[in-house]
Amino acid sequence: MNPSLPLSTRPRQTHQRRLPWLESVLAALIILGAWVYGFLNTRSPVGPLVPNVLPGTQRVEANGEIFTAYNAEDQVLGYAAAADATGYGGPIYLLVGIDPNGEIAGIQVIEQRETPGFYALLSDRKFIQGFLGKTTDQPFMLGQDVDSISGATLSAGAVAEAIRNASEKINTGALQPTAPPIRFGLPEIALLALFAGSLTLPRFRNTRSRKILHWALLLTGMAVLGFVLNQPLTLANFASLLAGYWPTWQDHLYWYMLLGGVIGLAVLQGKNIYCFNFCPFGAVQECLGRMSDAKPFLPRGVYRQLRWAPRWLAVLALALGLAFRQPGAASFEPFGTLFSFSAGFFPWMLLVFVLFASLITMRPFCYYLCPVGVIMDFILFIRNQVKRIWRTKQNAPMK
Amino acid sequence: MENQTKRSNEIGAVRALQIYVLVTIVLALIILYGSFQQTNSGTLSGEIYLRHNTVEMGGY
Repeated sequence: MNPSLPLSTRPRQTHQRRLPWLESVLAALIILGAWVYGFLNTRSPVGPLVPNVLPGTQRVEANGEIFTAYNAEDQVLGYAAAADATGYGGPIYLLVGIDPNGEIAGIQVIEQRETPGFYALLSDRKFIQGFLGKTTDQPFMLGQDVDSISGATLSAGAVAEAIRNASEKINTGALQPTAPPIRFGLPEIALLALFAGSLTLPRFRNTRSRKILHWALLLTGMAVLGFVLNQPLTLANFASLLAGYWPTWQDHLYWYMLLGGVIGLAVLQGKNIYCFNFCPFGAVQECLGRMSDAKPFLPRGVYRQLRWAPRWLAVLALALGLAFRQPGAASFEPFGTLFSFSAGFFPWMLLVFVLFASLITMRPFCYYLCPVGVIMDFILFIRNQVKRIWRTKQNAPMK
Repeated sequence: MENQTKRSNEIGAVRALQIYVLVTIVLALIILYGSFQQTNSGTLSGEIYLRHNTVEMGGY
């Protein structure tokens, strides 16, 4: 402790130094508790239902979200996965059984909270039966390979979507587990270019060149990661990573490059190169801010207090995603609303509110709500603390 | 007088910022609630459809 400091400031400084540690430990404990809860409580209702959609099943083996059914001779009888989608009045949660040839052998409606009238229309028209015998490589899109139900289009779309999601899980996880083709295309090339550009940005001494590169990165990120691919970094990515829902690397190189690159560079270089260089939603906010000449508004004291809100919101969302093993549901960011133009009423409200605020102050979502920024700050904080402790130990005199 | 106006503007801006954060947090919580409510699972509906013979069971 510095003896020249007034006595009154000492306890406050110690308190301020300890607070981030206490906050981090508490957040880590909550997330760990949620992970354990989710680990102990997931999948329980689905496994015993597999014999319903794959008759003759004697044994069921769970591998993540995919269930493999074996017959009495211990031969693979098929695969099953559950998925849900929302119709007009609520979700429809289905278990889909698929034989080794990729044909749908059985479907069970595990739970549905659809508006009764609409759901009754599906039952009357034998809509779900129409999927039986179809192969999983079909798109399951209304109007293409699936006939729509007049008067219950949203309900029919939800059933098709749930079956499509379940089929995709099985397709990528069980039917083609060994040799999916390695997909390396425009998204991966664009991502590599964005990483390379972000790493070279600090080397530019010339302010004008640096500005040009900064805007080139932002606009490329906004166009490619946002409007073309709609695959920005979200809280759901981190939740999937922690929950162990890792996609096959061969056809999801982009996922690994984005997460691995951003986290890896944060740990190795101590820099968050994503948020202010090529985050597509950040780019949209910055464009709006530039149009109205907005400046960041970070009032001293108040900013520090307000930062607590997004931190604990991110912890809550991540904990819920892990506890219920629903990483996708944890993502409350309005990224998808903007880049795919589809969402419910409240995501639209949040988006409009944030975009309007972007005209007044620079990047309001980044500073006051974004969970990705919170997680990156946490990773950098832990990294810097570990490095500090390591250096202190290295410099400590030998006893 | 000028300082007072400036101070008053600052307080107003901070208040607006606090309202912005509060509203966005509430909206985010509503979105989260909606997402997790939709993915609720547990009770069985019970309808089973098979390729060769369809068994329709009443909800239980």
